[in-house]
Amino acid sequence: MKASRVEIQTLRLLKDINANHYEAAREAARQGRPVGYVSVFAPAELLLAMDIVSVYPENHAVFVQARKMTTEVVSPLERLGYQPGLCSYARCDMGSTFTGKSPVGGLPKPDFFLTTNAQCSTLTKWFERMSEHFGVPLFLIDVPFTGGKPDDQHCKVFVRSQIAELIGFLEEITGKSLDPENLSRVVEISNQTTRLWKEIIESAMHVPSPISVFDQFISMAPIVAQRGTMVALEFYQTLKAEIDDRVTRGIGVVDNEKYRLYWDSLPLWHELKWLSDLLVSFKACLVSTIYTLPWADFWLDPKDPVSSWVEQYVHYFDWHLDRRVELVVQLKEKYRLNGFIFHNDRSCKMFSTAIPEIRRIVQEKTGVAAYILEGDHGDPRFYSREQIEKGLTYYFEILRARG
Amino acid sequence: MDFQQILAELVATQTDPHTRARQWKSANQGTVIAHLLPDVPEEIIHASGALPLAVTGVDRGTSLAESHIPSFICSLLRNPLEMALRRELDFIDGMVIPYVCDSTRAFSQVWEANFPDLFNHTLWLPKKVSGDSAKQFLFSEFMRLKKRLEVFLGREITDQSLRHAIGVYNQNRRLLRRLFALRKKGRIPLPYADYLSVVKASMTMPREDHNTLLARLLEGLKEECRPCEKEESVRVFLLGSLGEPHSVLTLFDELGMDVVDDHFYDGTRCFLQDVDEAVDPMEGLVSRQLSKAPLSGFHYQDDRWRQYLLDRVRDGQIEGVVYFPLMYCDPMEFDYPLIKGLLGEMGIPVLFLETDFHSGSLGQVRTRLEAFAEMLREKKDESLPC
Ligand code: SF4
Ligand code: SF4
Repeated sequence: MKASRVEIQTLRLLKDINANHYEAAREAARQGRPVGYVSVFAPAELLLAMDIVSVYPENHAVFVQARKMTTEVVSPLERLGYQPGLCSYARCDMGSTFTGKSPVGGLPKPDFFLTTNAQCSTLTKWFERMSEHFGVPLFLIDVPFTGGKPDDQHCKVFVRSQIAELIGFLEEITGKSLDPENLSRVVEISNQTTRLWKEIIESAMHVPSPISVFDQFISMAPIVAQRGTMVALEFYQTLKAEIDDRVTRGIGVVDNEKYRLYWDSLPLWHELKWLSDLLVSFKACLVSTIYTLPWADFWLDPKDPVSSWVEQYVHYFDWHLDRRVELVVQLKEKYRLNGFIFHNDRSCKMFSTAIPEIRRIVQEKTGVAAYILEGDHGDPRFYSREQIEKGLTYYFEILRARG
Repeated sequence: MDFQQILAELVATQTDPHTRARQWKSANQGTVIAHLLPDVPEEIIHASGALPLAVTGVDRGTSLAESHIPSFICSLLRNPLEMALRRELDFIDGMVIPYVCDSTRAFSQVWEANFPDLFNHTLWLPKKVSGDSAKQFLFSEFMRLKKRLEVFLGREITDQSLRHAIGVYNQNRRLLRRLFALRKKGRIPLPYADYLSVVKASMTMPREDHNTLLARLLEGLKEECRPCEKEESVRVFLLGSLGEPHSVLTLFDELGMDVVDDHFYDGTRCFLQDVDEAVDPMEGLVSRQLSKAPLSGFHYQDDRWRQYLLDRVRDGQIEGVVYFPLMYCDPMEFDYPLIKGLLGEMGIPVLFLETDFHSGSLGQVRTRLEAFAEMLREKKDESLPC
């Protein structure tokens, strides 16, 4: 019997939620609220509590890619001297900003940039060029990449003092001091949203899985770009209710789900539908991924969010090799996985540098074959569908042969 | 040994970079602590009694390494891994890897997974180079390296030994600056490729030995000192991470380009600043690190790049810049538009020339360099009063 997909209805709400987000940002800027261009692991709650409008260039880049505007905006950028090997989020966002070709109806001008290199160093370089372009300051939360080594007390001291400096920096920009009550209120909403997201992605433990990693990729936008707001909270409440209902009724994403797979690294944003259909044809469902996990672990101590941030920056976002291996091995049990796909994303060195090694160790530890898919998260010039299809066909043959 | 022999010996380390370290190890029953570039404070390793050794690589393919890291990782990392997997580094006791970019941070763990028995240390260099918090952090980070070495070697690194090491290294930097200045002024007939090999040799042998050889080399060169006839040549500055592949460097002379200055991990960046010997040794090392020439892997909140480029261009009477990143170096690629813009304001043309350690065919590189040299010469002719 041919397998098919059963769509999640709540996802239809996203079109408006995302569009409204950018419209609201433009409107808020018109009313004179300060605008920050920030990376996804910036302390969103702090910004929101200080009444700052946050724009997420990474999220913006996803829209450029999803609207298939990559080539159009990236070519002029390359003429300025940017090389095609750079992160395609950076290239798409800068290309869109520099050419003024916007997938979201334009962005309000920034008053500052904020990023942390706990995630990657690419963001620093990307934001350096962008902040020069706009002539506004860039604040970097510099996080040493400790790999969880025990002798990293000084890293925590360093990060803590930078968060204090950041608060001062933001107070200067807004002309107001941080109101701790405001922060607690936002943290409360944010924590509830984080909890919901955790439950939603963990519902994929059910067999058949009511939600796929593709659904997670699509539905993560609000928790990335609007964490701490009621909009995001309400969206995930609705989504959770539908997922719960699917669990009760035994509805899976993939009919006759046979393979439950893990996906490592970024999505192929251009190919969500194509790849998902391809996997469905193998009766395979992607049920778990590292990429959406951080937002399930963003819980902040309401009494002391600063300490939570310090801990997260120094110990959580640094996805070092041992932790990634350990995670994948745990996920295998938790989600009853019977296969792994590692996306060797040529334009994200942060994720990809260790992938061949991680795949080798995961195979050794689990005895399950893992597949390396050569791709790019946002530039379709650098992979071929044919190659991917051939590779995956071969991979499923191996899985089938091994039973 | 006359100075030609000394020169030949130093240049030979380019193709045979580890013999001296091996010899030192067996003669002294010593410990060799290797490190990757840039910016590992060798003085701390030296003060521990171990031999610091910068590992870069040699010109060849990296097929073994590519089963552990993707092929789109720069050869500064691929090459040492290849050497180690081929057991060419079996004499090292440790490896210090500086965290500079996304590739290095993940690479250090791949390294540790493959060579768990070594003394492995990732140096968590801060990306911020100004502000008290960064300074304090770097101080603690250098102390962490010191403490870990002490535990590993079972002996204390005293202030006295640190001061001694700093003295040896400052001496080396002074000598290198003399060599650099003589070349820049066009007073000695030393091709750039050979000159860089002499500089790089300092990182593959005990500094004391390099000091001795270099002093004698400078003595010998003094006798050769005369204004060199280079009217036809244009003065260029190479801005990159590593001056590799070596075979490309020899092209510059051939094509009438006089490389008077560079910005390489293992070039001028290593010897422009000394460590202040009047302050606490660790503080001296920290200050030196934070005041070094800018590097794409770090984040500058001031206009250090502009200032640096202005100085270098004026100082070396530079007529053209070759931007020379290793292939797949994201930080340098991100900085290229910035630096091209800054140099543009100064009226200095730039050629973007991405290279890999493994040279392959140089045909295309030669053609591009030739065209660039030609353009620079034409520009020069135009500016001459008739
Ligand atoms: S895709 Fe990778 S390199 Fe690009 S911003 Fe995200 S983490 Fe950084
Ligand atoms: S050359 Fe570039 S990519 Fe390679 S280690 Fe240095 S900064 Fe990183």
